[in-house]
Amino acid sequence: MPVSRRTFLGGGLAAAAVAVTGTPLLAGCASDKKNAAAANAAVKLPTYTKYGEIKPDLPGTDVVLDGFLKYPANPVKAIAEAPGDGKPITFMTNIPGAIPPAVDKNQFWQELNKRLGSELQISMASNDEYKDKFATRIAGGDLPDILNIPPDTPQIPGLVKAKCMDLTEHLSGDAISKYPFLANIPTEFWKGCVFNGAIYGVPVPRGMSRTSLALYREDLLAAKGIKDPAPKNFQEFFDLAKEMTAAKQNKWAWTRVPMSTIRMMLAIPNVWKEEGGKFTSMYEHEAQEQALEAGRKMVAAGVVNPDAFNDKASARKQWFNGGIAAFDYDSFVAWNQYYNDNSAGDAFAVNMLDVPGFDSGDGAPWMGGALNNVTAFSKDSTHSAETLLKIANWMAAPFGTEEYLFRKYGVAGRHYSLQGTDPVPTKVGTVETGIGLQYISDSTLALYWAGKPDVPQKQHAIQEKVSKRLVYDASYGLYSDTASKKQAQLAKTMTDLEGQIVQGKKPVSDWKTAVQTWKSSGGDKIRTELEQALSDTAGK
Amino acid sequence: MLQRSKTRPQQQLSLGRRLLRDRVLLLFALPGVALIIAFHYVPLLGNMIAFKDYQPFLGINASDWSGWENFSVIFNGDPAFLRALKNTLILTSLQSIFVFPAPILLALLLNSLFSERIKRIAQSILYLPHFMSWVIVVALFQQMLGGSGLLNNYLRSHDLSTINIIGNSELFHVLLTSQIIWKDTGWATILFLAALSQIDSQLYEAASVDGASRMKQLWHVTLPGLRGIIILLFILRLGDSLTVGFEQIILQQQAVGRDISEVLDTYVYNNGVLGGAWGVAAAVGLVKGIVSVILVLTANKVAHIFGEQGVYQR
Repeated sequence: MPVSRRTFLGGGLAAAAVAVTGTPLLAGCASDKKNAAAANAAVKLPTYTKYGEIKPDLPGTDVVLDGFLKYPANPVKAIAEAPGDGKPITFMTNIPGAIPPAVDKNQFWQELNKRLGSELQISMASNDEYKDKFATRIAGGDLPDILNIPPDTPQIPGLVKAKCMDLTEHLSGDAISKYPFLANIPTEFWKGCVFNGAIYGVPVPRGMSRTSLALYREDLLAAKGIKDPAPKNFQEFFDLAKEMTAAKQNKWAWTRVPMSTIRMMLAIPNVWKEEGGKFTSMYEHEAQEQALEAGRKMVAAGVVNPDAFNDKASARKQWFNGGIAAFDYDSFVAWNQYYNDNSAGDAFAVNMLDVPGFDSGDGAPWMGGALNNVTAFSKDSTHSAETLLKIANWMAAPFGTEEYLFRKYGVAGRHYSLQGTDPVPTKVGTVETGIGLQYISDSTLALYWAGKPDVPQKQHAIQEKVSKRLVYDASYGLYSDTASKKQAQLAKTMTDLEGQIVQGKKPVSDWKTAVQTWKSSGGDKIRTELEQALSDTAGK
Repeated sequence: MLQRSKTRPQQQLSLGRRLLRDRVLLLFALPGVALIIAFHYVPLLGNMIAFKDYQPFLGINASDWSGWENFSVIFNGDPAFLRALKNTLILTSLQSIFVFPAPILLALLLNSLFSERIKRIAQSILYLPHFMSWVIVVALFQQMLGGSGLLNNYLRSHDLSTINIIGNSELFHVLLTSQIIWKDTGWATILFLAALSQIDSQLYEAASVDGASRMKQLWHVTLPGLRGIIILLFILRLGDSLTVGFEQIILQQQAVGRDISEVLDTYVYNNGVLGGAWGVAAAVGLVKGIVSVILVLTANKVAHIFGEQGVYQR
């Protein structure tokens, strides 16, 4: 049942505000931009309660993810009752892979509907097209019950206020204990679901799993006699790329210019850096020009696929999988996806490079973006918030449970074959299970690959290696109105220029001018708003 | 005399009688008219968001009016807008100079072929690219001319220096224009070929009896015969001369950056649909539409002054 913001402000939030800050918050302040940050900070976030039934083989930390070498035998069925209310539930999402067979030809989907106790109707679009679909469906006022909102959507606060259910009373503090698997999502991730001083959604957590570094094809490097590569500076990193390039055979080391890796080598901030209340953007860092020079050097030396600038993720993945490229800059999620799409046979092996300092020492790796998306529920939905939260809770059942096994792998026999206790997906399984359930809600990623225990071992090892040095985006969870309106366009302009500079079409010195323009057309305003937001929330 | 007797009774009939007389025809036209009203004229009302601070989640009615504020990017010369305008005008002129005459030349060439068989085969081959979507055309160009495409792979394996064509910002406008010529020239010859077949062959015979060479025949018989259709198509072309290929550009924008590739249509898409600045995008789109209408009306007027029919009669 949707709760109107006004009645709610009179009760829960004010109480929460008093509890947290000691001073009553003025009612209605949530709509006032200046105080939005304070109101957001005043929201009592859901209490984190770790679901402790399943013990990992490779225990994680706050940052490092849990690793599992085998799927636990006799997985526990953690949720007894079907979460649905018998009526169809609609959901709109993007799909990272190929569009799966429709429900009448998809046994996984049919079985899912049975288990949910409600028919789940999913409206899908590919990753590239989702933004268009999202914008037009919103403009058309045609919203599904469950809505996948990408974090870079313009003006999310206004959107959720007008269209989505306020879930604060169901999730804030200990109220979340009704949904134990949502409570199993660490508090940090809920920060990104708070707008206008209320919790408007359920997070699809990423963070560490989204942390990206240089992935490399272990098998291809081994064929050249390179084992456990560990470049100690940019020069060695560059030499390694040159060694893996054979342009005459149409092989290039890199799928794209590893600008982020180079920036990490130079300790350039992860989006925004905060020091003593002052924010600096990555664009302004003094080492940017050095980074661009280095990127330019790589392009000029021909170690990057010459078609890299078309920036089609699908092409990049094909090059890496097909052995046309040996290096790709991507995340742990992509690492798994590479094994999923593997067309190179059993020898196929991926690993990740740690990032060194540009000249020597250690680099400063960037922590991945906290959220894949926020999942919100439409105000006009005929379902109760409880039902939809129960569905989300079901989708967040963690690794080791029977629900997780079904959700990710489907039904034994058809979608996977059991090797020991490991569910090894069949071709049908890979195709039919890809219906985007992970975007309703998800547990934090567990490091695991069915039948390949070396994969989680490698992943766990590199995570432990970099975890202490991770650099965070200081703007996460802080609201800036200008950023929510202009961020995407501003960033695009800078990426455009970066592409032209590293291709040698524009001089490196153009960067400085562009940063000035960036500042005057919104960058400085974002900075002020972030600083304000931080000071408004200081100590809260 | 004949014409007079034809038109007069029409003018004498009252509107009601004419409607009554044509009722069956009007009935037939009704679904089409309804369709155009529902899907062309009613949506035009949506252009009012150009004068609003439109937020899709609030809807058109609930969004606040903002007067001419959205038009400030145009009147104050916002750099991103000017960039889009500049690229659009460059592409418009390239297309008017190179794309528009191409099918005329090709039609004349085809028309001069004696063998009907070869002509038909050539036509079929030339029509084909028109039926490919832009995604396919762009991918084909990529595969042939891209940095790791057929051409460059060949050059590389023979120790020759490679040519950077796709993704080269300096060649982008030329590339776009060539793609359009490759894709649509064949198809566009249809109308010209039809017009050519309408020219009375006696005129050619008379001209050659008078001693006109092939070139003279072309100049004095063929081109005058094509003049009407050329002017008609040129006026229609002017109407969407500011539409320089949205899909084609969006597909290739990434590689060359927006400095060189942003045109009015991609500006509207990038700022409106993706960027959320719907009002500004609508304002730019609206101005573009109005300019196009003015271009068509002016061109038509000019055609009338020179005694041509134009798109419609006076």
